[in-house]
Amino acid sequence: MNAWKAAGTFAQFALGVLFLAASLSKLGDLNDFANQVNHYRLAPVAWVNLIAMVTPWVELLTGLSLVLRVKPRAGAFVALVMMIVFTIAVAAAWARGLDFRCGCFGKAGAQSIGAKKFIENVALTLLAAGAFTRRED
Amino acid sequence: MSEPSNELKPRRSSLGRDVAVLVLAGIALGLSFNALQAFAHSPRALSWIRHEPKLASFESLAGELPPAAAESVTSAPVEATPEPVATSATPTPANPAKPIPVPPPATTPSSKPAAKPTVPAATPAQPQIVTEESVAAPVPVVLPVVPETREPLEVGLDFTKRFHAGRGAAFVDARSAEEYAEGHIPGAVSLPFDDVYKKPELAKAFDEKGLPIIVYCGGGDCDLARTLAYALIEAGHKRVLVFKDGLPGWAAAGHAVTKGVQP
Repeated sequence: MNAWKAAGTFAQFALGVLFLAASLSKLGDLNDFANQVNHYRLAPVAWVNLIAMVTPWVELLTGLSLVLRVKPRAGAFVALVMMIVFTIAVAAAWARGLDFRCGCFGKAGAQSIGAKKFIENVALTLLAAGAFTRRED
Repeated sequence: MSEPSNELKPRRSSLGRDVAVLVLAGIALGLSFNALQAFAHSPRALSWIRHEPKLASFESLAGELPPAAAESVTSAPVEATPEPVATSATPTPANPAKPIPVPPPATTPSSKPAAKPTVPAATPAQPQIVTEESVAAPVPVVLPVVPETREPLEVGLDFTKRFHAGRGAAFVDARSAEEYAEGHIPGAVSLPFDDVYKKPELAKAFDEKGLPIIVYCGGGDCDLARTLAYALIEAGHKRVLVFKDGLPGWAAAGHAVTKGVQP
């Protein structure tokens, strides 16, 4: 295994652990997560609960796929798409000056929307892109 | 006809299938998990279609209007007085209401008939005082204390009228500028929710002059006041009330309505 592949494997594993943590923290209090999704005011109110219901489970399967290396490229692809969507949501909220917790890690990570959160998300998006470039053996 | 061999299948279709399986499985799990929780009547189950939560009632926090104070509103003089009048009634111990100073009437629309219309040529309606009640100076009323909250509170007609009579709140019209021009609560500031949605800094910049904010819209199913109230709270304002009956409720109760664009 060359260094490039090792880096890709590491990126997939790290991303998987992050997605598992994000998923489990949201599943601990879905009502709170639904409120956070609502605060972004990007989706119609009627859809907010459905989004809150399924997002942590998709994250959970994505995290498991990456950590357990079951179809990790598919997991990395889903993680990449989700990170792009999350980053756009954070950027939109930040640009509009909304002041609320991001809801990214449930109640555990009560970070506010802002430059720090945006940079974090961009970094994670790059990590997901790196994870996706790792070809399956 | 022979089946294409696995080697000839493009790699992407396998990735697409895996991604679809992963996402659909996640969606199915999420919906099933919520269905199970709903079936078990768990408080953690989410409703399938979200509705905005019902706002807490300001009246339930502030208590009933003390009779003497209610009297002071209904028997208030209509004539304008040159300076603001301090509140006069004494709150009852059981009620959190307490007198608060009333600001000068600088923010209300001009009452002079000779005032220059500020309407652009495109707007047919000229500023027009519909009734003289709208020019009344603040009257002595007991104004209840509005607590700082992280959610807007809903307020009814009686308290709204009292805040208006005593100039004890900043009134905000959440409807479009055109609807505002057709008629609004006297002294209300136009802050259309659609504008705030596009430029949330408008909510941040709104100066309530140290007063609680009362937001209203078209009453009934109108949701603009509630959504604007949330936007104002997200922008840092801490005392925001939603007048649930809106302009129709205000006008139906016989209170003044002013026409004209925002000065």
